[in-house]
Amino acid sequence: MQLRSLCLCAVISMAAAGRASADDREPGSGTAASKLGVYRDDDSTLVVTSMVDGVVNVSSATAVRAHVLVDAVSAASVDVVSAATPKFSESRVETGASVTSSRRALDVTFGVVRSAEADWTSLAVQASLGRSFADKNTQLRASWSRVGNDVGRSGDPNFHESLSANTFELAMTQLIDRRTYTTLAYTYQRSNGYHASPYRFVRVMGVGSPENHPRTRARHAVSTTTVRSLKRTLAAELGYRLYADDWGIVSHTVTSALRYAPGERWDARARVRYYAQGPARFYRKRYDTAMRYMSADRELSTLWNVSVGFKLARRWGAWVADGKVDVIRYEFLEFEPLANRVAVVSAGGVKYAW
Amino acid sequence: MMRLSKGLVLIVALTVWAPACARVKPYQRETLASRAMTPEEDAAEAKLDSHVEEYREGSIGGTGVSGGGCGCN
Repeated sequence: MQLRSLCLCAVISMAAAGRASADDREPGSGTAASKLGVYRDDDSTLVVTSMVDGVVNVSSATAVRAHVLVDAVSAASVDVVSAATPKFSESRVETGASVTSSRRALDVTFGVVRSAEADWTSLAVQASLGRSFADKNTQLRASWSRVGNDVGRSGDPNFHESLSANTFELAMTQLIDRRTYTTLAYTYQRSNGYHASPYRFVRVMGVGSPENHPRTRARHAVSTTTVRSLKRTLAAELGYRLYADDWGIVSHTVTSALRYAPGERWDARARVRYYAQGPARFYRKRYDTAMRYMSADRELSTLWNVSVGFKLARRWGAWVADGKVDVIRYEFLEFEPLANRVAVVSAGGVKYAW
Repeated sequence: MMRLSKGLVLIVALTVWAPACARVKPYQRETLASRAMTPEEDAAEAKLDSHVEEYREGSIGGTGVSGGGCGCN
């Protein structure tokens, strides 16, 4: 109730305060992009993601966006092995579309995303409202999305669960001076339903039991990012996020990046990210007795990871080609089947603007 | 009720204060508009990164990216 009031206040403030000129779009202009990403880790998981995304400005004030994404997963990770299931492969298809209307510095966006795989389907609706003030020195954005998921289990037609989530975000971008801007964002998510995995089992005194998570979860995140120009062709970015939820998880994320754009044709980026979290209240490395809530999900345990990445982009007129690679090392401090993992995420794509 | 009042005051204060805090005029934004400062939007990369982070960590938020759910964990 209080969060809804907070969002309503933000909306009223955005509508009432200030005026600024709207962005003009050239009717018929747009961009089309394709991207191929590969996630591979030394825990025998491979995910290949391909995505096509396009935006068309149907008028000076309205843009339509659509995307199609396909994930192909192949895994024989410790989760799979510990559940005594063979290596599996599956694919997920996601499609989405949105419409953005811009009027007198006010942007309104509505969108829908559908995702389907063999044992999981989801449908999400999204809306956001953005406004700039004071000659675009300040930009505010309020967003909401609701996703409904139907959860199944492969090979078990009698298994059916559901999970829904509402997510709210308030974000503000503020110009600090001629070389610096800062973004501040708050995210709140409330989810209800089946949060566990039908494929993970907890061993209690040698006997496997399905994991059981609480049916509700409330999640909060506050983040800030500051970008400052070091010289005309070089900018530095520093960000921090604090996260906490009612399962007891608290996490800290620190990101930093350097962006280099020496001329009209080349862009380069180097970034480092550090993440650390504490465990969920009901997570145990080993369960000696059965508890009401139990989990075999390593992502609910004490863990940290660090990633280092590089990206390079090249322009040829209206075309842009880019490639990036991130190397991530994970350390699981309370997960006996897997102490650490190294993953490489690489992606490359092309984009055309007309 | 007190929290609602505090939240309302905070939002109104931010909305009034922020524009008054810094006024970088449009003709002073050459550096802010440079490609190093405002890189081209890459929705696909943002979605890919968000997907990797959210399904391999216990946290969400702060990215501004939302999408469909998946049984990825």
